[in-house]
Amino acid sequence: MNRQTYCYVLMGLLMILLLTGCWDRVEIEDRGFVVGAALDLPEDSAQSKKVKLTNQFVVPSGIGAPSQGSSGGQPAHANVAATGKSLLAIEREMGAMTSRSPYLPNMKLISLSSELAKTDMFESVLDLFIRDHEMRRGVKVAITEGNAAGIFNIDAKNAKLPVNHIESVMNNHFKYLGNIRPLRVGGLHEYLLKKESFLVPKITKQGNDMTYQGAGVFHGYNNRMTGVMNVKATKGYNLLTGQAHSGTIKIKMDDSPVTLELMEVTSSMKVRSQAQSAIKASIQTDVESRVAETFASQSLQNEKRLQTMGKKAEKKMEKLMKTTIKKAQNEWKADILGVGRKLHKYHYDVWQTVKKDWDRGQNYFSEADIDVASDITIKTTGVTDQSKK
Amino acid sequence: MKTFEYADDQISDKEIMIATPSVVIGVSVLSLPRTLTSPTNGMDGVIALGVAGLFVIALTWLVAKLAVQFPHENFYSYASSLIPKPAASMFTMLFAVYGLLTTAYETRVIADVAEQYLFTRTPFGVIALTFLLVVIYAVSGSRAGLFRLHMMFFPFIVLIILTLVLFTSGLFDPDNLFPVLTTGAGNQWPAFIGSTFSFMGFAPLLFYTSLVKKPRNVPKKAAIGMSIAVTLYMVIAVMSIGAFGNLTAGNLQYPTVELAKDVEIPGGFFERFETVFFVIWIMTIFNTTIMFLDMAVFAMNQLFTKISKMQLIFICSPFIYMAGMIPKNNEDVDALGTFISMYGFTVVILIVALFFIARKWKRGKKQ
Amino acid sequence: MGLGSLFKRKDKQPSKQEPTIEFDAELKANLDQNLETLEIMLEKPNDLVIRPFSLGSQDHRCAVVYIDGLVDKQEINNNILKNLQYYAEEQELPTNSHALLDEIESDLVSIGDVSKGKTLDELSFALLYGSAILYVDGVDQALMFDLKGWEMRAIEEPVTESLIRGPREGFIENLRTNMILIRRHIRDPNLRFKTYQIGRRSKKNLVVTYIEGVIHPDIVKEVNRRLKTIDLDDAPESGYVEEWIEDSFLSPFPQLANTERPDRVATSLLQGKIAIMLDGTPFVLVAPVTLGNMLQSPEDYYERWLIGTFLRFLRYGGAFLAMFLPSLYIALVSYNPGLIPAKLAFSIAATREGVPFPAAIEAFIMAFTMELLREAGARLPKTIGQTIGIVGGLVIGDAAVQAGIVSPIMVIVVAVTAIASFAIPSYSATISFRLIRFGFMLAASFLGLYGVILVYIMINIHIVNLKSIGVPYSSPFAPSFFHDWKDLVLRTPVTMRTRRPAYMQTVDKKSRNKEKS
Repeated sequence: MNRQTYCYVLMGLLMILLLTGCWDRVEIEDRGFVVGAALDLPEDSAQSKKVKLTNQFVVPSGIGAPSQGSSGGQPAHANVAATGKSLLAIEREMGAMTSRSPYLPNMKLISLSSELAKTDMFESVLDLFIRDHEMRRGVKVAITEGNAAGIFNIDAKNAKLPVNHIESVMNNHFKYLGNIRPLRVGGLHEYLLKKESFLVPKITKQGNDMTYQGAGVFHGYNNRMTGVMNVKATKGYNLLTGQAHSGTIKIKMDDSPVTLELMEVTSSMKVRSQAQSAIKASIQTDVESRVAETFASQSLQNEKRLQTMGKKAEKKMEKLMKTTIKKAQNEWKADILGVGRKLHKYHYDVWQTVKKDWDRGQNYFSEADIDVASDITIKTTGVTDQSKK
Repeated sequence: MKTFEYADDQISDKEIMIATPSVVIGVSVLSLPRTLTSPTNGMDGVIALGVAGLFVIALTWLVAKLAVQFPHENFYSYASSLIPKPAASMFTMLFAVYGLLTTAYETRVIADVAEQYLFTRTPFGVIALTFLLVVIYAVSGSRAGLFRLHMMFFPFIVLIILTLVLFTSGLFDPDNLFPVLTTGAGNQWPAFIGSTFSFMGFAPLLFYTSLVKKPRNVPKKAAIGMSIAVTLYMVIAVMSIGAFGNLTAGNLQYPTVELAKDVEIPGGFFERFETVFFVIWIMTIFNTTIMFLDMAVFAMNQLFTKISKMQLIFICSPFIYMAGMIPKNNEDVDALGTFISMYGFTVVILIVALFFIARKWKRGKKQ
Repeated sequence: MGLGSLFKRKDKQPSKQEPTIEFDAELKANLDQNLETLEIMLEKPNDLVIRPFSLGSQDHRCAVVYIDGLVDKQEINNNILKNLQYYAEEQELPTNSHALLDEIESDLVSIGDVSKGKTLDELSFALLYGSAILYVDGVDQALMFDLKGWEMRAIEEPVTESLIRGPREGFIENLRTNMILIRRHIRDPNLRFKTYQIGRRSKKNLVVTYIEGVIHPDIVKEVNRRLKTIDLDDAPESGYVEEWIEDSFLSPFPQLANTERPDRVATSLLQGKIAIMLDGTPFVLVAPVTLGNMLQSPEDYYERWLIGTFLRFLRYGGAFLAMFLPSLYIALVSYNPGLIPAKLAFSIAATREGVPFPAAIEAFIMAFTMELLREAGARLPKTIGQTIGIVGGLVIGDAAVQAGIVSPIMVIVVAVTAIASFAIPSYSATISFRLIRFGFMLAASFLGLYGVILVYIMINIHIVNLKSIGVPYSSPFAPSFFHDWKDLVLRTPVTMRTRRPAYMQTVDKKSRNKEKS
């Protein structure tokens, strides 16, 4: 066999390959881009162990190319729902319903109804989103009060897709004290694996609008939602964990309200422990702030006034934080603050002994002694000392 | 047309330095963080990786040192000068088999991973076949050409790793690295073995040192090359543990690819970085594969001098393909990988030990 | 050895040169006979001028023969005929015709390049290459006066390689002028010109030029060897020579560069390269070339280094787009839409809604149309060429989108690709990139990104096995010569580039002494 023949053999093989190729070719316009998924329990409560999946598909012609101008009122999205026992089966079924095969990599949001989150379905339904290679770990997860699919119908305002609207709200507003950082599926996967308690941000539908506030509290050992964290507790939580980057603290000075705007929040937790019964955690929160608004007319350029203002703010913050800790220890009995994580990392031996009964059973977490301290620095009083006399 | 000075089949020690990490870095990095974290706590696996790295660098140096003793002499000829001829041919054959098996394994893994991350319906047999054909095309060319390929592709590999690290640094949480030093030696052992196996790729040094123009510096350069690989591995391991945490990293099948999946490049241009990462990674795996296939062919050529290189390639390739298709599932593939690493490791250790002893003994006899 | 050598040409043995029409090789002593043989040989073309005359008192019969249009008539009249007739009046001419011939050669004519010819072959070649021939009756020799004087193009700015800044002169079709253009750039006595004659029938002159003491001697030897194997009837353009002596005729990459610019040739010579000039074409071949040379333009060196470097980066980007963009479009749209930013993906999907073809077919249609337009534009006169550009680019593109044959994004892709390929300075490199692009597109249509990367790897394999006159095509990337990287993608300041390219293995390594800087 000479070289020429080798060459022909190679070419022949290549030709065979190419002629039989194109297995995976699906043109872009034939794909059904799924941007959001909502998971509900079916209305019919008899259908236990079943779940209702609503996918928000993009209708590209509804978005339209910019040159084509307004697309004549055609909606840019289509919500398709189906019920079934496994999500994959539902996806398949949906493919038959919508003429386009669902394409998941563009998914941005998974919304779960709070009812579903209270059952053991929660962790099982999320399995697909974690396991499937098409899914990104950056998909955001949120729980919705009431009907999860409902938020897919809200008025999207300047975004074309409701999901995009929700996503940008989540991206832009987590910095505030009352909201928690959006949760990524990847992060959730870590919680599920570690069996740590965690928070899932909450979306509420209000008429044709939505608000992004508060969070659902999930227990680590069974991954069920045990409670809802309100705005106040969320503020405390954010101060405790130092996750917020802005937000306000309102205090009263001489009966007139003063608003301090937070510029930077950092917190650190120290855990000391000799034995499982005497776990002590101390959380120190440092805040940098500036005076944003005051109804009082006294001068602010006064060392003493500023100091008292700081003291009052610190007290307010500590109160917020303590409320949250109390709720976590007594009401939800879930270690959402990461005390256990610290223990695991820095007191490995102690952790081994308390691990099993950390925030369940014996519940060492509830018995732990957590104290807080805060320190506020008022950096500036704004561009003017007084706006009125 | 051997008219110009370097238009021949010789390489420089610089090329060995680049080729060594380029051969080492292959499919094992994709799952390395899992190998490290599943038996250990926190970032303790990285310690095992570091120790394994040092061990492997030393081993690389030794292997190269051995080969350098016989400049411009091919493996079979210096092997038969040290040990009896039948044993020398046996060892050469063992290396040939090692090379062929590794080729089959890498081909299989690339098909599997491509099927998982790039395709859904394309049969993996086809992916493997196209890959193998390209590998064969490369090996049919000149040996020096293979080293030039290493030089051409290696910058891409380093670049993609750096990009990966840069863009995932936002996810890096130092807390995830703790606790430290809580893993017992018993649990460190599998991590150590796993990391050592992931560095397998110094065997070609035994063969290719004979092609080096001025081989004096080869041990040093090979060791430097290996330390590049070790460094890159450490960076990837630390990044994945830092980004995912020990538990998640130990749970993902290919944590490195998942890390790439987490990359969000500002401006959203590449929404799915892992595809780009994986596509570039094909080059890396390709580099490993060509070197092992060529080593096999090289070894066999030294034994069967009458058969031409092309004939050898064409005789072997169907078997490589079939061997790659044998494993039924991921576990089988993993088992094959472990077996090959074990096999290669044993043979290399054996050769190094045997040859050094034989050399000492022969010298002693001379004196 | 191996598949790579498939692409290598087997050494060509020079086949025996068949004798051309061999008339009586030696000249006769009889003038009439000589003239008759010449006339028979050329079959009395009407541009053959035979001017018989007699000289002196002895009435020596002589004849001047030349081809009208090939020689400078003025010179023949003034410096041959006039002189001879004048001296014949003035002084006594030798009676012996042999002595007369010698006297004419040495004293009587005022022509620089005079030689004696004995065979008909010699004479006919000289005659057909612009010489006038003087026969003297009774001598079996003739004088050949080199009086080339045909019409030629003036030295103009090269059309294919126009620069904004840089010398404006380009090679022309005349070999001698071209040699002078190079000499004017390099006044080194070591500049060598070696002449070959190629073409069995055309007998064209081919000049190889290099600088002794800079170039690696083996390159000269190798080029020499390869040129000697050339066996063609005619080489109308240096492309024939290129194809004959290149290392691999199956490769899409040009292994010899061609240029119209003397400054570029001069720079290349100083880098230790060799240039091959063929009579009758302004395109001079430069060899060896490597991958990096494809994207370099002389202008990089004429502008300041930062700008030169920036332009090179730009060109690398352009080359990437020219090769990959359509295939990436196919791969992303048909296989991996996840790589496209979500919003763009949606709008692509929206615009493709009505398009009946898969992305691959769409891309092939448009790429084919584009190539067609370019080809048509190149053939047409300049003024109409523009019309084609407008009709093709604007009207067809827009109409195709309106008609729903292609999507608007495809038009952008094709347009950007075309523009990017124009940014590559060398035309032959552009063509090869255009060719490779189709390979990528094909692979992308069958295997998506996986196919693209496999083809990319294959091209790399081909490149590392490719050589240009024995120099690895992939150098100085690999084998790496880090010092040469100063002038590869980067264009470092001239003060930093102290050495000639290491991959050329020049005899004289340094281009200047470091101490002086």
